[in-house]
Amino acid sequence: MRILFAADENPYSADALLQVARLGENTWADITLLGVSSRSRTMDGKADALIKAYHQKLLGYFDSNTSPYFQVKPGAGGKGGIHKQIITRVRKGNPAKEILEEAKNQESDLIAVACSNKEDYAWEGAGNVPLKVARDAACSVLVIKEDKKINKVLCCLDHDNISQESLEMISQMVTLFKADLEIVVLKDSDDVQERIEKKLSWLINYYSARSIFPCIELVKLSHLETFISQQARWGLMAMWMGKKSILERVFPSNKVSRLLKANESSVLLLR
Amino acid sequence: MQEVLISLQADLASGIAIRYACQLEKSARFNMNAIHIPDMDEKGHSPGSGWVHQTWENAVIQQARKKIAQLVKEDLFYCYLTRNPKIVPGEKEQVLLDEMRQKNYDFFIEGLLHSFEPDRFFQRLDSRLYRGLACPVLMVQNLTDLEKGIQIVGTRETVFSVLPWYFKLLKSLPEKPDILLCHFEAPGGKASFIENDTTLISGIEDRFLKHGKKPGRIRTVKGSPNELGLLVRDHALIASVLPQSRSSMASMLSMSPCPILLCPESKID
Repeated sequence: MRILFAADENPYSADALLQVARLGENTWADITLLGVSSRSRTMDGKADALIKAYHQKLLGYFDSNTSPYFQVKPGAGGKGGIHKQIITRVRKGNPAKEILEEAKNQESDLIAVACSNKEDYAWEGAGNVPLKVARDAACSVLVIKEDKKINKVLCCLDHDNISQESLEMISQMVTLFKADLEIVVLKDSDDVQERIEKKLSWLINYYSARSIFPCIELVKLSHLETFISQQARWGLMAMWMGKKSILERVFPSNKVSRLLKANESSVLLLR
Repeated sequence: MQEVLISLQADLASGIAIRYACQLEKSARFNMNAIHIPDMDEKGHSPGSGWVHQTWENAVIQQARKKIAQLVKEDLFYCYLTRNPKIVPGEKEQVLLDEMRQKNYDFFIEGLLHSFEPDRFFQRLDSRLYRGLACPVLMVQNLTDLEKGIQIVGTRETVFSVLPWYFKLLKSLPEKPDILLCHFEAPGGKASFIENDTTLISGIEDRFLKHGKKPGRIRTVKGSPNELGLLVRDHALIASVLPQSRSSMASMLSMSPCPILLCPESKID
């Protein structure tokens, strides 16, 4: 697994670093720290220093004896031993474009990006970079909202296309945030079809085996936005956005923005 | 030992209900009796009458027995049943009411997947079964972690109708139950905690003392059913009086995805 953490110079990015560290350590992921120096901004020259500082801060979260991000010295008796990378990158240009380009080059599995609580999924002074990344990325995206305590992971998984990777990602989020898991079943009629029930039953077994008791909630598609605005305020909203996803059919890319804007919480878009 | 009836269909809701019941049984101790009522309509119209009809009905029952045996087998790791599930053809609600009357069960369990839209919950409250039962119904909507504890929910008028059922059925659970006293207001108002009524609180504490128990946290809250609904979401079990459909209490409970014990108003000691 490879995580790309795109950061700006604001405190929400610095705060999100801890979560990226824990996620990286839990999943033994390679981590790329990316800073983007926008031509229109005054960050030129500072981006290098910023990313270096983040790198040092990130390393500070790990135990050098057990973390996969440190080489175990021969005879040191550490528990690590599998070496994972943390690399730093600085790019120049349009932030959203550069982040997407870097994710593509690195073949990232997850882009993590923090954002301000003041505006809709925005980087202060740079516009809605996180929103654009969430909307246009080819891989999964975790948008961590500033100052939002995550007590619940609300998971809108597609009924037919649930991949092992996305289930594992959800497990990681539940563990990472010590949160409850709620599986939202989107339906377009009153009945829950037998094949959906089978899938849900399988999900309950999957998560129960990991001591996670998912709470299942049926929501009509027509009420999804209301549901999100009411229920997602103290959660992390996880949505599967695969090509065959029911969400993708009902909410094409221009509506993803609308859906995200209706939501006050952090968001994980699974692809 | 309490006798409990659980209604099983070959579906997810029943799978969740049986697992939850088995989890609960480890602390609450009861004998679990299962019943399955096959959906005869699902198999088309009965062919003919007399022995032809009888043979068809037997075949449907055999098939239902297999399906339910499979469901129980899948979840057997988690629990046990007192005996094999009873398979009784007929109109579902009538069969259940008859069975409950004949055997005098202490409470009834069924699974119902939780829906964000309250209509399914209201329909269930309005059902002949719920209105006709003399004992509580445990509506299991999700599997929950029992360590999340019980919350008894009521108004100053109804809370004393729930307590006797709690002492009868769930007293042996290790956690102290929290109590939430609700003052319902018109939609729009945010939920806020208000000062407890000391007379009411001492009345509740006295009831617990009589049974050698202590209540957990007692809170009084005011707000609209929608806002108060946020306070009934994170528990292992919610206990309440069976409310009138579409009442404020029903609207609030409809927002809870937790298992809900709905108790009839009739007083027991």
